[in-house]
Amino acid sequence: MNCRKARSYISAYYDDELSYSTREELLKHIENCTNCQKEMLFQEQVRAGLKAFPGEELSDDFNDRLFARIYSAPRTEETKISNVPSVLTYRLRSLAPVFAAAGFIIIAAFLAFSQFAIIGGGSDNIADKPGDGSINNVKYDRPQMTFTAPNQNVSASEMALNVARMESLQIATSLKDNKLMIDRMRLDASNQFGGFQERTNNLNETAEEKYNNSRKYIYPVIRNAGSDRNPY
Amino acid sequence: MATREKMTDVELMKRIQKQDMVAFNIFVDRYKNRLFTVINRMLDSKEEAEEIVQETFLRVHQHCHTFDFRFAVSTWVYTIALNLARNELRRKKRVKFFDIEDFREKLSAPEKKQLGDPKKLMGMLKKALKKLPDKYKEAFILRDIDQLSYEEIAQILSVPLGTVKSRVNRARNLLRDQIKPKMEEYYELSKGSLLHFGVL
Repeated sequence: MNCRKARSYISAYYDDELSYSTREELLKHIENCTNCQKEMLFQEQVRAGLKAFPGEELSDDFNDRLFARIYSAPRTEETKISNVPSVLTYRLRSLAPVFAAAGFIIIAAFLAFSQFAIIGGGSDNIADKPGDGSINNVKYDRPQMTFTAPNQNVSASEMALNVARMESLQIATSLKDNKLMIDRMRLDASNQFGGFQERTNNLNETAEEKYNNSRKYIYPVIRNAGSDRNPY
Repeated sequence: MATREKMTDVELMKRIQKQDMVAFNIFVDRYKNRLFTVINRMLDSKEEAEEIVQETFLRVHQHCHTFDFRFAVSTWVYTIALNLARNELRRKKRVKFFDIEDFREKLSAPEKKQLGDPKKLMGMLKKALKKLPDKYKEAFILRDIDQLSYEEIAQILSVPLGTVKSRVNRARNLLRDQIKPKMEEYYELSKGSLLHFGVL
């Protein structure tokens, strides 16, 4: 074993990672080599010095201070973790408009059905009306509605325009104005059963007025059918 | 209480997860001095090391429920402490433009010739250790001061076993290169001490 190899083994010697034969070979070399003895001495000195480093002591109140911190400090890390939105939260946030629209439709449908329910269970109210209390005897004048009869000779372009009007009306009814839809349903209900006005928000508004008001929503749509203009 | 003190780290950790503060106290007593020694050598500041060790135990307490029992508890605790110490070292490097100790050393250089004094030797070692690059220093401290196995160090530092061995070896060589010129003189003063150290 030469000096270079011997020195490369010194570190492993202290780690006890040399095979028995290599270890014996190394020690034999060191015994006969002054330079490698110096190197070994140096390594030994360093290791002894490191072990003999004055071990500084922790403060006596280390545990007390630690426990005081644990009991007094808010659990900041957990707070931080809970403040970080999860991926799911981000995805749900992106769907917020969809949820809002769905919620609106559900509420609208609920309101409409609740009105039906009121009317359906409102026979007591009907009984207040003059008559025998039977729903068939409730006097109710259906409002006069004037519709222009379609011309028999409808051109292809007029038919297309009518289709466009119908589509616009459907869009206005189903999507753009749920209020209109509700009014229409209220109106239909009042036409069918009567006695509805007393239960509506605007008690002074007759069914006919209500119907005419609701038409205000429909006519602009029809009038502007086929154009890009906002009907309202 | 006696049986609790004989508990393994895993048993203690399970109790700590159930908010058993007695178990936590035993755990703190078991690790605080070892951690303090390592961190103190890394940062070369008793106050900072104590603060890091406190912070380590705080985090252990706060995040004990996240501990993965597939790994050793000691590895986890050392990893937390070393990460905190590394952050502190990085912070110090950002704000520290010159080392006041080096400045003092230069002013008092003529006094450094009394190498036969063990205290001076100790001082030399401390200074040499301080100058080691962090990645070599932490591997060296864990191996040669805290006497951890290479396998444990590899887990703590999250590096391959071979890397740990090479870092420790490199640290030893760097340390030797720094100290050896001064030690040559010391060797002359303590000739024949190889037998004294029991090497031969």
